[in-house]
Formats: sequence, C-alpha cells, structure tokens
Amino acid sequence: MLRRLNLDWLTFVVVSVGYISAYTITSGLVMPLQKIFAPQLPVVFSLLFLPHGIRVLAVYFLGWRGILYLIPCSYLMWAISVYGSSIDLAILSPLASLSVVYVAVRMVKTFTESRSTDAFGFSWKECLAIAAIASVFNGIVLSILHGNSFNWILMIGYSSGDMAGQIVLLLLLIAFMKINRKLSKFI
Amino acid sequence: MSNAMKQLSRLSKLIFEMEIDLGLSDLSQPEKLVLMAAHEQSDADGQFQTHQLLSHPLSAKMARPTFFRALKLLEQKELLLRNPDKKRGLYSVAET
Repeated sequence: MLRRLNLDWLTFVVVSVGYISAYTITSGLVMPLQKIFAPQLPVVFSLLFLPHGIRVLAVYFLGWRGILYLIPCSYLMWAISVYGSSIDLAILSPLASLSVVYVAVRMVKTFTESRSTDAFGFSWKECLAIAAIASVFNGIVLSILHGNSFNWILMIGYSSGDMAGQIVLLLLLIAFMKINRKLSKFI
Repeated sequence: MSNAMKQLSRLSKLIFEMEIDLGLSDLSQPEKLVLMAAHEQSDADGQFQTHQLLSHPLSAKMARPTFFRALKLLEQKELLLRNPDKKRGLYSVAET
C-alpha cells in the first residue's frame, strides 16, 4: 500500500517529528506566554503557530503526499491538546488545515507556471506566499468550523498566528543550520 | 539518495538561499554570488564545473581574480568542495 502510493517510512518519521516538535514548542512555550501576556485572547488559537510552517513545507516539497504524511501526527496532537483540554474545535479541523495548504500550493504553482518561471524549483519567497494564502484560508475555515459562522476575530487570530509561525520556523531553521555548520567544523 | 534525503537537501538549499538573501550569512558579496551561481548550476549530485559559473549571469561580470578568490574562500569555508579525484575545475556544493 505504502509503496503503491510512493510513501516511505523515513519521510514519515522526519515529517512527524518536525510537526510534533513544532506543536510541543507552541503548546508548551508559546501558549503559556500568550496566556500571561495576552490573557484576553481566546485559547483556541496561538499567536505563533509553528506547526503551520511544517504543514506548508511538507506539502510544498512533497505535494499531496505531504497531507498523507501529516494526517496521523495532526490528529494525534489534536487529540492530545484540543480534545484532551475540552477545547471546542471540530474533528475536521486538522484535515481542513492540511487541505487549505494544498489548495494554496496549487494556486501559487499554477501562477508561477503561467508566468513561465521555474515551476519545479523551490524558493523561500514562494514558500512564504503559500503560507500567507493558506493562513488566510485556514483562518476562514477554522473560524467557521469553530462556531458554525464566520468570526472576524478568530479568522484574524488564526491567520496571523499561522503566518508568524511560518516566518519564525524558517528563521529557526536558518539559526539551526548556522549552528550546525559551526559545530561541524569542530567535529 | 532516498526521497527523504533528497527533500531535506532541497529544504536546506531553500533555507540557505533565504539566509543569503536576508543578509544573515557572513559571506562577502562575490562569495554570495559565486555560491548562488554554484547552487543554480549544480546537477542532481551537487556537482558543477567552474566554466559553468564563469558563464552564469550572477558571476559572469566578475573580474577573474575576484571570482577565483571567492571560489577559494568558499572552498576554505567548506561550502564548496573540490572533486577528490582532482579533476580540473570540478566542484560540488556542500550539504548545508
């Protein structure tokens, strides 16, 4: 089955570890700080949601297979943090968040293909464009799923948290790679 | 190279390009241009030849001594690797 879908275990492990780590930092560090410095904000969204960055990178590089790789860890973290904390968020929300990223990737790729630029290349600017579009779609979809009607505050909260998460994740990766390069000289 | 390693290599290239574009790297301007050209000209195994860089738009207008100095410095910083078989002009881009 995995071979027929051209999926492999190593990619699954890398994507899952990345997603779970990003989710753990968000819920274990960002959310407590948010509760201290902005207690008036709803607990259903984070102002710095790092897992959105992992979702965008996975679907950007792996296409629709990125969604399949992310479904198990998305639902695992959803079950632990959202369902476990009795936060009222729909069961479809992890799937919806992954789907909007795929839609955003297809939109940006279709645009770059139509402009005859390098459609098969990857660039950080394209990645940020995808993240921005996906964060707006995600904000709209999640705000509707949360309260069965569109809510501007939730939509802006989800969108800004997702976009900030993507930017910070890329900056963290730059810092990680710089440290890695420096350390590798001593080994 | 496995699919996972190939995708991680593409991700590291994207992050490295971002680092250079945002001015977060400690490379000089000629080094950045040569490195960007090397990344663009390298094949699937990360290999390229110096004559490919000399004709690349990013580094074509650079004076020859500046180009080869930048190439040497990138080699010293282990960002570009000379072919171990000492085949003349053959380099590869280091995994960042």
